[in-house]
Amino acid sequence: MSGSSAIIVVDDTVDIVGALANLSEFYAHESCGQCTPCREGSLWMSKTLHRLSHGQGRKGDADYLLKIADNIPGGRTICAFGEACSWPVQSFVAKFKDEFVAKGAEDEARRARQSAGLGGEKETAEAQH
Amino acid sequence: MSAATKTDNNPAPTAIEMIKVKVDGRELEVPRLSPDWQGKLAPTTMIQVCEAAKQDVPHYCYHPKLPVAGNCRMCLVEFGTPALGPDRKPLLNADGTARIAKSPRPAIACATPVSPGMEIYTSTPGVKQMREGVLESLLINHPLDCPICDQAGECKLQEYSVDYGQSGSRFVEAKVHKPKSVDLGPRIMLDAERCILCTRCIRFTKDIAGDDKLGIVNRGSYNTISTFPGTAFDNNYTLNTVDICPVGALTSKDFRFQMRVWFLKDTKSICTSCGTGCNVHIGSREEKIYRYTPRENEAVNGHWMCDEGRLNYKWIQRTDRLRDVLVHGCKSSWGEALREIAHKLKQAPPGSVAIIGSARQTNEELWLLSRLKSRFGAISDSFPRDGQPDKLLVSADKNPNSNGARLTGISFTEAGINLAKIADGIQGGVIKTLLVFGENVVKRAVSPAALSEKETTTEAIEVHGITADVLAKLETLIVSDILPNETTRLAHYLLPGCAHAEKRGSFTSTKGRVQKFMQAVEPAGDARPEWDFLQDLVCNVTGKEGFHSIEGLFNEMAKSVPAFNGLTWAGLGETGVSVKI
Amino acid sequence: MSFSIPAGLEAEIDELITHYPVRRSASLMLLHAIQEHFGWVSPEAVQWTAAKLGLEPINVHELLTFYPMFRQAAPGRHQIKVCRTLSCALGGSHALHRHVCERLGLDAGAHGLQTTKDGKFSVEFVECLAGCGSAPVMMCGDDFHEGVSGKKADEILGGCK
Repeated sequence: MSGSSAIIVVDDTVDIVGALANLSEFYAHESCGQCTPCREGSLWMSKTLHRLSHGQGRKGDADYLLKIADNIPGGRTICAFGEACSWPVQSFVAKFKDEFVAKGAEDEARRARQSAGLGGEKETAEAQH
Repeated sequence: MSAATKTDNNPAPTAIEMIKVKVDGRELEVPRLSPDWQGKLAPTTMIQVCEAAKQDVPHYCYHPKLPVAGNCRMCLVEFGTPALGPDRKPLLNADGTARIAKSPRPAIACATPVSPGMEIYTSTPGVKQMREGVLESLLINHPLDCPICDQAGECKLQEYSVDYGQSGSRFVEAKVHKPKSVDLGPRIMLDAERCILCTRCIRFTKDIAGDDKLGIVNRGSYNTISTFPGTAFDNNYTLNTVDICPVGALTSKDFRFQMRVWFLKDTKSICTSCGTGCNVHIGSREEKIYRYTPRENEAVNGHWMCDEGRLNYKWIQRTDRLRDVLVHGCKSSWGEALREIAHKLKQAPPGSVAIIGSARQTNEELWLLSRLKSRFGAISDSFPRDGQPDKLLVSADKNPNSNGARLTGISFTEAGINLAKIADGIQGGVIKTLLVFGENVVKRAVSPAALSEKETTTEAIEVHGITADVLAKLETLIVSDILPNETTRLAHYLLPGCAHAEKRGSFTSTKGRVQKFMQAVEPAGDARPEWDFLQDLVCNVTGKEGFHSIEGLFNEMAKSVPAFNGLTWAGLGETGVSVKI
Repeated sequence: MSFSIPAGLEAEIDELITHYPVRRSASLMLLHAIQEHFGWVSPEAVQWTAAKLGLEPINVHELLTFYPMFRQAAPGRHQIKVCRTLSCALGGSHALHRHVCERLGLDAGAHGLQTTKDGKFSVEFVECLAGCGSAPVMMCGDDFHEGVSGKKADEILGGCK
């Protein structure tokens, strides 16, 4: 489900993580910002997916995304846009969880190899909070 | 200003239907209609019911005196309504109670009206989870700079994080960066990164202050509070936005970085900048005043106060405050000076004494002066102090206690009408002794042209003829004031007095609200509250023992002044009592 | 720089206002009309619009900054919009955008509106242009182009004077 009741047919050559990153960027751009869950959640999901689709993923990002998405819909927002922006994340991750996990795991493994090659320096994608 | 902040909203109970609702299982009866932010009757909302039930519902954007926006989503609650069968009749449980159909979706308590039989759930796991979600969302892009934030200690993000938040954050992305230290206007700074976009400030300035100068620019997570570029947020009520800002986004340029709020001692007081008598909190620490903030009083100022009144406290801490009792310019003691003054007054022939009080003095002090007045058959008056009023709170009367001066008999229907007579009396040698309290009579005797622009615009100047030359004709000039001026320099007896923040007392507002205020800081030097030494003086003159407490003095005054009959110090409470003026 | 609205435009604006029961409701239409005339909406135009509708400038400025279609600075004479949303992205819009940028000497990785030095073209990678069935799509000014290949894009750009 891509969120706005539209149907886009894709074949199995498409990078599903990248596709969701594209959709989420759209929703983050379109969120008006009036109410909290959608304003903050839409950009959060988009940033996470941008990271995951640009080689900075984590194995746990699939569940992380679901938790962010679960905080938006269900009547918590003023309008249905909040529901719409979380649905694609919920459905993509539910239907293709293995791809999200694999992508994050691959990034983690690559970073581990790189840091081992660099003498064990720890690399982290985590912004200081 | 809305009607709500000007009057008590107590609609006749019989006129409104009562309905039964439950909050977390507790049944209570509430009116179907309640006053909204403007005081107009509107369907009672869930948040009003929860407040009545003493069930805390956290909220950011909701404010009882602002239009409802419903954007923060912090007040989401779950609820149910009586289930109806196909015949539109209530379905019952086996035990005969109404069956409740729980709504599948939550509702914002701030904007959802209650209906008969409704059940509101504020503490379910679902509600808890929604609050955690909203708080987490608000915090992900927040700078979390509490150690350098002035709001720390009175911040709703901090408080709700403790009460309803999660201990950690999952957010690992880069935060959105927005403008910081934005000079929004002459008194306000904005940190857009701290802002949670509740829009309270926008609604306040549009709907309460009537100066629609703030808005939200950009979109989505990049939303930012702003003025139109190149314009300033500058009206006489801007600092109220700092009070209602639930976080540290809007800060007062006067207060920021000055003092941690948890160090401030809170004293309930009254603003003295005009006759409205806005209720204030004085925030002080170690005998220094750091800020005034408005204190809620629906009968007077609602939740607000003007910027001018709020910032008018620095004079209290001026270094040139009068600190010493002076007799003919030499340092003396209270006992000695008061004995000498009493001696002189007792010898004064009838009609030779005049008293100029100040409508900046308290009811009690003015009443004590009126007792001296009647003892000596003195002529008396006080000074009017007129300014520009506004539509919201500022009164044209810049004295805090003009009604007190009138009701105690120091001044008359029109303050200042006796001043020329007093001048003539001194000129003619009839008046030989003059008591002046808290007014620089000399400055106010000259023509407005001789004064600076600021003085003429903030205070109307009366030309009454009591000049320095006239004062020189007096045998005895007794002056009490707080700051030095032309009149205090001419005084034979100079008695250092106190700012309202340094004493207790009461004022009567332009609308006849008698309100008391408490002492926040110690007086400067040897200065004493005027009521305190006036008691001694009255005692010296009359031989009757006075009161040593403000309570006793007020209660005695209330018996003697008709308008105050029946009032007691304790009975004034924190928000005062209205009297007929 | 003094700002003035030509009589013809003002007449058009006055007529637009009559379409709405509340003057404020005409805000967006006024901004569109002004942008159509000047190519962008200057701060002076915002103040003029606010005065015209009995609003505060911030009320109009909010709208101007909310909608990405409004320009707060003068764009190029020809505005190219390439769709970046999912259908077009899957249909090759990233390659198309890169192609257009490279041809015009612009940075394909930059965010937001970019204008060529000669002021002839502005290029923007935008959200959905509502032509998902014939991706990738782009707009040149008000003209809508579907199934745009690199070659077709060259033709479109070449046709701009």
